[in-house]
Formats: sequence, C-alpha cells, structure tokens
Amino acid sequence: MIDDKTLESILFMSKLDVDENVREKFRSQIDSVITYFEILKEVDTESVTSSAEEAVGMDELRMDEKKESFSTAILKSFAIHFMDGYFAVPRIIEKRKAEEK
Amino acid sequence: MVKYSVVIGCEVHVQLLTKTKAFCSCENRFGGIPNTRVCPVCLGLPGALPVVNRAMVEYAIKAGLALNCKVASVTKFDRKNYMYPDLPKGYQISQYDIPICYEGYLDIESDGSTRRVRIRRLHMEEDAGKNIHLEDDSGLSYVDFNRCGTPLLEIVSEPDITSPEEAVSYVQGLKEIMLYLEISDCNMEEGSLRCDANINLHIEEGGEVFETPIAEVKNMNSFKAMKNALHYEVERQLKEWREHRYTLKDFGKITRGYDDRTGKTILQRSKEEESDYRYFPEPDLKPILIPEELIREIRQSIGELPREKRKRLISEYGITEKDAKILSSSVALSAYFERAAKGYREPRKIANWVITELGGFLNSEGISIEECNLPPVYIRKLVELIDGGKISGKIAKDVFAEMTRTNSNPEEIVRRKGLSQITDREELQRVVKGVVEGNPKSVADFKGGKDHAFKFLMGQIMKVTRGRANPRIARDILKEMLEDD
Repeated sequence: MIDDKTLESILFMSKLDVDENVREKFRSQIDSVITYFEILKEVDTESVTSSAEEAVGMDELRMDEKKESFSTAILKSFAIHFMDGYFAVPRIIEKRKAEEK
Repeated sequence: MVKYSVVIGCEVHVQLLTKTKAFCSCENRFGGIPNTRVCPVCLGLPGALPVVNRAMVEYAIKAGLALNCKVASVTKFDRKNYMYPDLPKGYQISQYDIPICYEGYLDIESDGSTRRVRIRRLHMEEDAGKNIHLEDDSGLSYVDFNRCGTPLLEIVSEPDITSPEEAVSYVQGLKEIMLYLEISDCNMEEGSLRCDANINLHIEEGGEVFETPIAEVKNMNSFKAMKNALHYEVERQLKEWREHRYTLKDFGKITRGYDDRTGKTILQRSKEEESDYRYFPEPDLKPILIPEELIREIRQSIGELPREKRKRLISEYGITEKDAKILSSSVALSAYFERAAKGYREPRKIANWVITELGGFLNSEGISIEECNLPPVYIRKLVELIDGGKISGKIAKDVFAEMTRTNSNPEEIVRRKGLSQITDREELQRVVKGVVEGNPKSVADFKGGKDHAFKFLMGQIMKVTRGRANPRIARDILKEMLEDD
C-alpha cells in the first residue's frame, strides 16, 4: 500500500482534496491503479517502435512566419469569465506550504 | 570562524527574438493588449497540434555553439507536466533527456583572472502565460496567455560558480553573447532574461565537509538584485548552519523568492522532484535531425565573439578596456569603428568620437548604428582635420553636427563654411591686439593678479574668430602681448 508521503504527493499534483473519512478508501483505489501499472510494466515493448522515433529533417519544420491569432470575440465565447481582455480564474493559492524545519 | 566555500549553479531562461512563437504562428513579442496573440495551439485547445519553429532551433544551435557546446545530431521534445492556470495545456513542451546542446562552457573574468564555468545543457522550451493577482474581494486571478508559447532557451550551468559576483559576471557574459548573436533582447525587467540560482555552502569542520541545503533563488530581476539576493542567501545559510546545523540530507531542495524591497529571500515551497513532473516524450512532435552541414553554416555565421573581439580591439588598436567593451557589444558598432580606424595612427581618438559623439547622436535620434548612413570614413576625416590642426575640437563638434544633418564630407563642410583654424601668426596677432586694446579693464585685472581675466580675453579672441583661432598660438601671443605691455 502506498505510504502517506506518496499519497500526499499524488493529491497535491492532482489538485485533489480528500476528506479524512474517505482517505483510506482513496488510498486503496490509488494503490490499485499503481499496481495495475506494475502489471503493464511487464509487457515486453522492446521490439515495439514508436512512430515518434522517426525523426524529421529541418525542412519539415515551420518557417518563422506570422499568421492571424484569435479575435477577442472568439476568446470571449470560450470563457466563463472574461474581463477586460483577461481570462478570470479562481484565485490561485499555493496550497501546500513548505514548512521551515 | 566557519570556513566555507560558496557553490552556485545557474539556470538562465532567455526569450528568443523569433517573429513567431515556438510551436504556433502567433506573433512573438512583449506586452500589448492581453490575449490578442493566442490561437488553438498556444491555448492548448483539444485537437490542436504544435509545429516546431525552425528559427527557434537555429537560434538554439547558434547560442549553443557560441557557448562552446556540442550539438546533438538528433534532438526531441518532452512534456513537463504541472498544473497552473498560466499553462492551459497542463504541461510545458520542453526537452528532457536529449537537449539540443550540451557540455559547453563560458569563460568569465573574476578578480582579474579568467574562470571557466561549465555549461551542462542548453535546451528549448515554451514560456507560460502571465497571472495577475489583484487585492480585491472577487476571489479571482486574471490570466494573459500572450506569453504562452514564447520560445525560450534554458541554459543550465554546472555548480562551478564560487561567489555572487561570479554569478553576476556569468549571467552578464551570457547576456553579452545573446545580444551579440541578436537572438534575444535580454531585458531583465521585462523578463526576457531570467536567472534562477541554486546556491549552498560547503562548510569545513573537524576535517569533514558539510553541505547546507540547496536553495533555488528566484525573482532576481536585475544584476544588482542578483548580487544582493545571493549575498543574503550566503549569510542566511551560515546563520542556519550555526543555529540548526541542517545539511542537504535533512532537506530536499527548497525554493526561495527574493524580495527586492526588503533585500531578503523568502521560503516559497519545497522543490518538486524531477519525478513530480512526469516527463515523457512529446507525442505530437517527432524528433528532429540536425545535419552537420547546418551546424557548420551556423558556426561560420557566428564569427568573432564579444570577448575575443574585445581582446583583439585592445591589442590591435590600443583602445581602453572600457571603450573595447562598448564597441564589442554589437557587430555593427565594432565594424563601424574598425572601418573608421583601420590604418589610422590614433585609433583611440576615433573610438572616442564613435562612442561619445556618434553614440550620442544615435541616442538622441533613437536610431541604431545599422540605420546610420554616415560613412565611417567621415569620422576618420574629421579626426584627421583636428589632428592636422585644421580645425579645433570645438569647431569639430559643429562640423560633426552638420555632417549628421547633411551627410556631407567634413572637409567639404570646413571649406564651404570657412571653418578652418587660423594658424597664421600675423593674422592672429592682429586679432589679439584688437582684443587687448578693446578690453583695458580685463588687461588691468590680469596685471593686478586676477588670472580669470586671461580666460576672459581668450574667450574674446575665440568670439571674434568664431572659434577658429588656434588656441595654442593665440594663447602664446596673448601671453606675450600682456607681458610686453
């Protein structure tokens, strides 16, 4: 079973907040996901080549030429909160405060 | 007394001056109206695919070669995963295990000697957007994605730097090269050159060496801030060692932000481990083959770097270190100076005219040396006129102003305006005589011991001749006349 430190780290990176009463249930669910990856690791992928491994030449890259960007009207239609040209999002707060020893 | 050494490694981010962003065709420039340079790619909308900007790759190779790096024959991009509102994709396209350039170095001056700082790697990545936090009750933060996808180089040094002053010298050296290569404007205030420094102390005690926890110091927005922040951090770590004896084993790496207002660094967060970023190969971008031929071409295009140029200008032209530094800061400026000074017996004077007068003119006009039409040979002709005693230094400034206005040859201006210096002794004697006779009070003052009266009379001579009197001859004649009188 994953330890407290790993669980904390996963919660932090997933931006999840778990109530104490379901914490252990969550721990076992995460543990089963991780265990499943351990099974996947056993698959022999040595002979499998990824299409990403086929490299491209410099000529296939994009020339440095400017094109039209989105109009503000389009952007507004995407956003729930759009104010004075900015996307408005819930205030960002650093949740995990590091502690000075 | 604690015996210790300071160990610093720098991670420098340089925004590239490409016309477009790293992986899309949105315009790449600083500031402007928020969210006006965004598209599906840099906003990370579903289905949008990135395409690598060729100019970014070429600039990265150029920077790498100038920093004596090896260039990878194949390079690739990776995803660095983290969540933050300024990164809409939830990952940054960066390079992990195969950076485009690696194992280079930069020589810097430190305490009058040369020190070599090794460069571990130089890789390409994209910048994130910008968050704005207002102190209001809305509970909202505001995001501008214009900067999202701006091409960056991250240059990582080995921990070879041994003092805050050396760290500043290293980053200044990088800046000088980037400016010279014209691949970044390196404006620290606007964030186009950003430096984070990893710093700790190696403390010798009882025959053992203890390493203090490494602090990654961020938010150093000027060279002054950098120096202050790192000095503060040395003192803080020493104090912490004395009080708690914490070592690297007790702590992971920590991040501290520098506050320019208080001059202190503040703990921000414990540093993510590399595994927290879950790097994996970017599936939307194929690896890139870098042909030898391209590397050769780029190497040739670089030419002489500022440090080498500086040394050569000093030895070849005998100019001062300070002047050489200014002239070698731009390819065009040094070329201009060399065209003007080549073969002239007093290149120092030409350096002075190029830096002071021409530099002043360019500043006041708001134009660059590349936009200046004044032929370098005109500067040389002007200095020749002064050195040959044809015009005085004062008149030369007027001629220079006319040169820049009309783009004319200084010899022609002097001839046309009758500005040549009066060196004929008889002619000057007539002028001086007239001034002496016309100013009896000043003559009496001088004879009464008031030295400033002499200056006044010289001024009158210059006024009568419209600055054309040869000052040395005029002074001698005036002296003779006052003594004989």
